[in-house]
Amino acid sequence: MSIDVFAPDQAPARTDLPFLRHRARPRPPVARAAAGSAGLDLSAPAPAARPPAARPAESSAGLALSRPVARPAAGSASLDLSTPPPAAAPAAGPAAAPAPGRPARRQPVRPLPRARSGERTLLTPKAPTITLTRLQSGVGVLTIEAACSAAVGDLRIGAAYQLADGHSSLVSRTGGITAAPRDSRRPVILARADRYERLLIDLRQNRQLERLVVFAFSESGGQLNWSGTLVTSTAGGGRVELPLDRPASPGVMVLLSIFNVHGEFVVRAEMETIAGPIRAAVQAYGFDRISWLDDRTPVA
Amino acid sequence: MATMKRGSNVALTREIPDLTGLVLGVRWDTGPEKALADHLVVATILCDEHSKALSDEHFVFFNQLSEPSMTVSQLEQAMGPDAEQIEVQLTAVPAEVSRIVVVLYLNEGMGLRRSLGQLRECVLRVLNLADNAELVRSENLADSLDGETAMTLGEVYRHQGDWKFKVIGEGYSTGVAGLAKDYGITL
Repeated sequence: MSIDVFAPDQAPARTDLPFLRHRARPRPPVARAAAGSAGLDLSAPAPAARPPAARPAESSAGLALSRPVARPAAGSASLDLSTPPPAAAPAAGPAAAPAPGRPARRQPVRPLPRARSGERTLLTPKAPTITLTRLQSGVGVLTIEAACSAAVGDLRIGAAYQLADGHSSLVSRTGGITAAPRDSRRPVILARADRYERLLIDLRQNRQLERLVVFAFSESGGQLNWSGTLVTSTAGGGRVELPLDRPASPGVMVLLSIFNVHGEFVVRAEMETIAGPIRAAVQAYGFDRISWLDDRTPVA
Repeated sequence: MATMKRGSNVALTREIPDLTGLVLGVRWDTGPEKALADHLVVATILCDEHSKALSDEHFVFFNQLSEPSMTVSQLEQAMGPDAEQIEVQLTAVPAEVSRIVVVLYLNEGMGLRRSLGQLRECVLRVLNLADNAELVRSENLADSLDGETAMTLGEVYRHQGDWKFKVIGEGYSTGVAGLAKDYGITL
């Protein structure tokens, strides 16, 4: 078939590319026939094939088989001949239909460690990473809390973040920056504290968040007796726990990173002590677009 | 265009035999409470005959724009006056899907307590996917709300070989957690 590249509106519909499909602006009722892939469910044991790239409307001329308007639970009886016939492959009669079925499911290449909702998952040196589901990464608020006793010292937490628009900075109660972006009417991240210090991520805006690195430090710059647990909680009651037991040290410890990978948050234990200020720690994690006032404060 | 009350239904494919696809549009008016809209989420749940979600992957919302069969998809950018739109390829919906339920909830947890009672207006409309023509719309579902934080707006469901549409408008005071529990979804 020849395709006139200057008349895209007359080109045959590409039913094999549903993810590129766009509803057209209103126009004369001819355009979108049937949208292809009618999973004909002619009978319970042998549903018809999903034609991969049928061209609606044009190839269907002499086809007697037509689509039931909707599937009755059982039985192929109710063929409705008044519907415009879809371009199912002629061979796809009930007898010739291959494997019953639901369409092939998307499978991850390898199984990812997942956080069970309502349960706790421990991050360890051997299993430092966990991937939140799209629901865990998109519903409610993700809370990251440093459950540490006074014995640890004057531990404070903060985070360096990068947003989808490229904006990158810090959020930390210690520096007085309790929202990200700073002074935003609609913050993506908030720094709060009641019993413990914690960070809240608004998952309604999860698409704005590219990555986040959580660090802990001593407010006075002294030594910390590392212990306690960093707890990341989902709206569904999933808890990802990271033990903070390490030899006592000064400086900054990078605890946890979160990367937004196509809508799924990948949470990773870092647990790396950096002998230096916050600035050095977050620079070590690639945050090189932050302008600094001093070693622990970004400029506004 | 017809306005439908809560509980009423219409036999979509019986009345329009060549209907192959739908657009489910949700529009709202938050009145002076502009920030409310920042926290509203529309989701579509594909359910079996027992009104339970087929899986967590059958919860279609802004962070999961389609489901495994890709016949129900939420648009990143709604066309026209709706705040959110969901496209349904009716004729291609897998047989195990009995109901397609549209819900609205407030994403909570960042502090300020809000509720759907602050909405001035909330309407679910059904359009023909082929030509964007509005088929029916619900009455204003916001007028009976008070402290609710989630609501089932309406559903498209199979009935004796046809697809029907029903306006529901039932609120939840327990937010998305209550919705998830009812529909068997793991948050």
